[in-house]
Formats: sequence, C-alpha cells, structure tokens
Amino acid sequence: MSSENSQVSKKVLIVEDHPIVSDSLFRLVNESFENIICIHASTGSKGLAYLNGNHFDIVLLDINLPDISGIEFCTQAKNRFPELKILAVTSLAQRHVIEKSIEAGMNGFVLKTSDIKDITDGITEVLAGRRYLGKGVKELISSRPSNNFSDPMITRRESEILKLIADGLTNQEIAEKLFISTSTVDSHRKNLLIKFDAKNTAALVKIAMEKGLI
Amino acid sequence: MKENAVITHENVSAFNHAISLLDTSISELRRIAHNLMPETLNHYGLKTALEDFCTQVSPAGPPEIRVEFFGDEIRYTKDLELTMYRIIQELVNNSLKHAGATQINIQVFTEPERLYAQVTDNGRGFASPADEKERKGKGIENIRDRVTAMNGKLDIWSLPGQGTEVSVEFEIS
Repeated sequence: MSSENSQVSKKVLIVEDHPIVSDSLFRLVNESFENIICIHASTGSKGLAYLNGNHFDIVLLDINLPDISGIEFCTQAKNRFPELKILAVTSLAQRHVIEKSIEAGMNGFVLKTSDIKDITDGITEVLAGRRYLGKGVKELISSRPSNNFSDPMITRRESEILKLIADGLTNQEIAEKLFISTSTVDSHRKNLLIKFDAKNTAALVKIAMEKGLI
Repeated sequence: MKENAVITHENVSAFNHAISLLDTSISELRRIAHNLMPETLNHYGLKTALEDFCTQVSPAGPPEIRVEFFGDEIRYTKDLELTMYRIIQELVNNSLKHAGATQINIQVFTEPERLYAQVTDNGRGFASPADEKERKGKGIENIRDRVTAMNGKLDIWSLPGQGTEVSVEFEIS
C-alpha cells in the first residue's frame, strides 16, 4: 500500500509503553506506507512533549499508558493542535472507553486484537480526515444498553403495590396483604414516586391512571 | 508476514489455530480479572460498571438486558458499591443460568440516604422457598448473606412461569 500523496511525507507519533507493541507498530507503519516518518514515545507526557516541539500528522495512541490515560492525552493534544489526527490502538474493548475517546475527539479506534489491515485501514482513513472505527468497535458501541426509555419499566411487585395504593390501603395493610414488611412497601412506594416523578402518592395514583397502569 | 519467512500450508492452519486459542485465552483472562476486581467500578462507579457487565454477558442478546438508573449519580463506599455490584451480578447470572430468561431488567435507585436495586426476569420463576433453593442452588443464599452482613433488606417475588423479581436495599447511615 502506498500513501495517497507520495511527495509529502507524513509524520507519525506512536505513543505506547509496551516495547513489543510499539516496535510492531513502528515496522508495520514503515512497511505499509511510503514517505512516512515514525517517532515513538513510551509515555503520555513524553508524547505531549514531542507534539509541542514538532509537527505530526497522526498519533497512534495506546489508552492504558503508565502516566496519563490516552483519553487525557487526546483531550490535551486536541486542545493545542485541533488539526492533529489521533487513532487509538488499544486492547480496552469497553464501550465506555470508546465513548469517552470519541467525546475527547479521537478520530479513530482500533482494537489490538484486530488484524494488520484493520490498523493500516485506520491510519489511511484517519489521515484522509475520516473517522474510523475498527473491527468489533462498532458492535461494542451499538450494544449500548439503552437507557433513555419513554416510560420506566414497572415490576410486578410495584404494580401490585400501585393497585393497592390506588385502592386506598395503608402501608401496613399492603404489607399484611402481600406478606412483606411495611418498610419494604415504603421502599417500593418511594421508587414509584421517583419513577413517575410524582410529588406525593396522590399525584402517583393520578399519573398511573393516566398511563393506564391501574 | 515477513517476506523471507517460509510457512507450509499445514503450518498455516496450525498457526492460525494457535492464534485463535491465544485470543480466546486473552479474553478469558480479561473476563476473570474483571470478575475478581472490576476496575471500572472503582473508577467510574456502579452505572458504568453495570452497563459494561451487561454488554459483556449478553453482547447482542437474547436475553436483552436493560439497565435503568434513577436519581443522581452518587458514589458510595467501596464496600457498598462492590457488594451491590456482586449481588446484581449474581442475580443476572441466576436469571441467565437457571431461569432461562429472555428479558432481564436491572433498575437502580441512587439517593443520598439509600441505595436500591432490583433485578427482574421473565424466566421460569418458582413457587416456594424450597423450590427456590432447588432452582437457584446457593446463589440466593449467598445474596441473603451479603445483604444481611451489610444490614440491607431483601424482597423476592416469584411465580412459576411468570419470572422472578428480587430487590435489595441498603440504607446509608
């Protein structure tokens, strides 16, 4: 594979603390691209220092660094050099890490468990100004547990209690009917108030009726 | 591969097999390490840790695991957060292993004076405490011990064929 513009050399900064990984990346970049210059930094602060003194086109960034996290590195680097492209190359296959990276302005995200082509594709795409999410990354993001529901789910215990509250029973009476303690009833009542954003039990009953729950 | 390296056809498949075994071992190790001490829990709290856990145990479903949080994000003591995390983990595992559920819901209420969580599923359910013991093995007894040890409250609702709901509450003194 050759770089799109072979006249101008691109400068790559590899920020990675594990020598085997940084060496492999170093070779990979040199073998896969023409006219490319690679510099290696073993910590986040060394990497930032390199950026301050030199122009780089792209950073291949590990997230788990010995000093600062890759996400922190990304935030600081992007603040100073908004044009700089950053591709995370990490073994942290966790949704929140990917999300925080993207929030911090990371241009791409590739997992170390992926193959060589995934990483070279990532470099090409990110250098071309496009976002790149490597193999397995998209799946991790789309598997996000959905958390913005129009209506919170009501458990069967809550629905039992809701009906008895609407019937005008006291905590004590509900507790006896369901063979649970009054404090348990009270906990469920509190949860229901929170779930429906109701100020008091009367408001709760009104909302529950409007929603057709009782 | 490097140009001068020679690798025979049979070796290619053996090599690929070795690599895939390594990949499996790495992810297995990661999973075990995560179970021993969920680093995410210490750094980011219950919400993120639970969302990560659910993504890990059921990446694309089924069962679909839904996590809902109510209240502001509050950090509790390490002990309490870990206890709650473990209990929810155990309950989700129960639903997955024993109840054959296709839908699992986790709801957590975080308030300054209390931490409350309930895990519900649409699995097999059970009728009596004896039945419960049989179905769930030691799981629920473990949870009861954990809850008691930290002065919490436990409420179990279940009917055969209608799923199980378990709620746990800790008051913050």
